[in-house]
Amino acid sequence: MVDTPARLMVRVAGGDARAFTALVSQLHGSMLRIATRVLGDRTEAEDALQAALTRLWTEAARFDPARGSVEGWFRRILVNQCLDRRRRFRIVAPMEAAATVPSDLPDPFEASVANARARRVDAAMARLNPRQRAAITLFHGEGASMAEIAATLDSTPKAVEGLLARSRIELSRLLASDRPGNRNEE
Amino acid sequence: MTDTTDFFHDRAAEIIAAYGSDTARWPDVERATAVTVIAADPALTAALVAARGLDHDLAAWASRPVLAGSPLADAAVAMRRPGSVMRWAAGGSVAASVAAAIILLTPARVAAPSVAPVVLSHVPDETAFAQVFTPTPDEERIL
Repeated sequence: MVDTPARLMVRVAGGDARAFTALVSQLHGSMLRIATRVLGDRTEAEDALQAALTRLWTEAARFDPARGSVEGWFRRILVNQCLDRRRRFRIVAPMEAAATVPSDLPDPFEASVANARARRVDAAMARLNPRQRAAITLFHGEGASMAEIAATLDSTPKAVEGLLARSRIELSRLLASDRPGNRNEE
Repeated sequence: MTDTTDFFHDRAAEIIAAYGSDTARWPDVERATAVTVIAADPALTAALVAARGLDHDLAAWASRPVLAGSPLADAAVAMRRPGSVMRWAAGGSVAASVAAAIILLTPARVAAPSVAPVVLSHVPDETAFAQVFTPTPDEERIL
């Protein structure tokens, strides 16, 4: 039987290394995906995740189950790590290059269209500011609710609505400017 | 248009802008009203159609594995794919190695460093150092 993150967290707070290993196994995949999308760089994402996990280990006793889930608490630590890191470097992802990168998926047509579309979104995402990128990642990438995103970004659901609206408008503008026939107009 | 109608019109526009075209993700208490208001307003209907285009782009983006092509990628993907035991094992190895590295290299918690034999026992000696993200001084000399 697999322990829940909440149970594992109690043991981690007591210094149980096996529980920490088990908890990392449960959190690792989804959290690395979030970090990679927010940062747009896998190496940076791995570094951010390791830093966040270090905080989880050293500050486990500060976790309060009455205030939310382990996943939510850790996601907040991780996204803060990502936002701090993203202030220190700029992602280089030229829109033109994204449009010409061939698909690496096996399905010949639909997969390549979807892949090209995803790469264009990647390139546009790289131009958003860090909080916009985090909001899009959490809402569209992870299916998080406004309340969950608000908790992660230390904000309110209403403010997150506004943030998401601005992010989607900016993303639409960037994607529209990248469409064939529009690229020379910028 | 009355003030009340204006309010619902503006709110429906805000909902489309923030949440996109998937009504299932709209606020429960506002969904029915918003759908009704949008259906009766061509400008809002057009906004909904426009939002759908971005949502398709974002759906393609969200469904693509972002970590393909690395052990970490395989681990992350395997963790989300039921029945893939070998890949799950690979993912567990990576996560366990990360956990071990943190436990072993974090000075603030000296009380629980006893997991190294458990976590790294299956990793060959000559490659064990590569599983730990932050090299020790000895490893720095090797590298």
